[in-house]
Amino acid sequence: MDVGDEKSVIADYWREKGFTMRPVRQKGEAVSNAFGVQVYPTNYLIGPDGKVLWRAVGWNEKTLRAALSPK
Amino acid sequence: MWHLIPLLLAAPAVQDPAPVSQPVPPPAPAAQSPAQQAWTAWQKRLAAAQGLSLGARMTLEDSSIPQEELMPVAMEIQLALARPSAGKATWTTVFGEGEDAETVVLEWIGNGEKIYAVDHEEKSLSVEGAAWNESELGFFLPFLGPTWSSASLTAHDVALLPALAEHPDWQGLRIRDAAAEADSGEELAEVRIWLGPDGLLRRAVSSLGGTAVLNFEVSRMELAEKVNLKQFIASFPEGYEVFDEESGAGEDEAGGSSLEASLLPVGAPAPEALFIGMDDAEFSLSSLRGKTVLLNFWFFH
Repeated sequence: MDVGDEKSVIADYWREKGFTMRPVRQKGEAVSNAFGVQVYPTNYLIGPDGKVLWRAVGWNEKTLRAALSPK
Repeated sequence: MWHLIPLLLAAPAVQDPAPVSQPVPPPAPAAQSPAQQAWTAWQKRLAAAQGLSLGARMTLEDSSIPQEELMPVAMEIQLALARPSAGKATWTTVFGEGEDAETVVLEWIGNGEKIYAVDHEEKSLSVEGAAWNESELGFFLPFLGPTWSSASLTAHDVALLPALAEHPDWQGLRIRDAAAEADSGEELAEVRIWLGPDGLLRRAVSSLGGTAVLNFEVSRMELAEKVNLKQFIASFPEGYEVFDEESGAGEDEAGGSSLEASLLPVGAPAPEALFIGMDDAEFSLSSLRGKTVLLNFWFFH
């Protein structure tokens, strides 16, 4: 998906249930510890500058849309 | 074993939506854009219908509206279908094992106007919004799975019940991407389920096809047990303190739920992370710099 295309919306999740996401693993719990993850599911949105744009336990469409709306 | 799932996604352009909790506005002045006119027309139809009846099929067709303008309208209509919101929902899970095991119970109550998160320890109710999918529950629902049939989750008349994915009628939940759909030639639909005034679950399937054609089809879902609306109308526990101020969307990250206390704050640099792909090749999060990345931490047996 072209990251410059502001007309795109959030893509499908759950391939069997609708997602198309790229599954990866981590070594031990290094990544989840670094991100402070204690509860599942947890989501982070990381911007092109490498900073956290949004994060939530679960999914919050309202705050996500607010975080993604052009300022 | 964990699965971390990064996905490259682009920032969508989000229009300022018309408020759905307001009464239908009077006829708008001529300066409204075609998409705004379409939304106004839909608001009037929804208000007039007083909830959608079974077998209803509505089509909003206007070739003068670009699809990307119609998408926010579609999303607001979805939210409008979600109200009113009455009922109670509980999410119970156990973290850890053995002596370290901790049971967490989250509960929400909707009184037909607002949704509240219940804290039985503090004996308080905190408002989360006017629709179920505005509350934390809106996301937990997909992971409640079979708890639906065991009645540990009581119904509510909103949205997002992929727990019913086992049902043959269920199409699954997909977020629509008009551009991707055009490329793939595949028709994607968004499905919402809610509890109707007669105590039966309803399913609405919306699809955006052709040139700015928005279709809604409402049908009834059959479940093994009928859902009785009266059983799901919740009453507030007595003696609980009510916090009725709604937090601004996306503003108060620090005031998020206690479940999010350990997470990195918005604006913090994401730490370096090493991922192992399905091909066993390693790559770093920093190698994805320049792209927007959604990192989903999920629990996998």
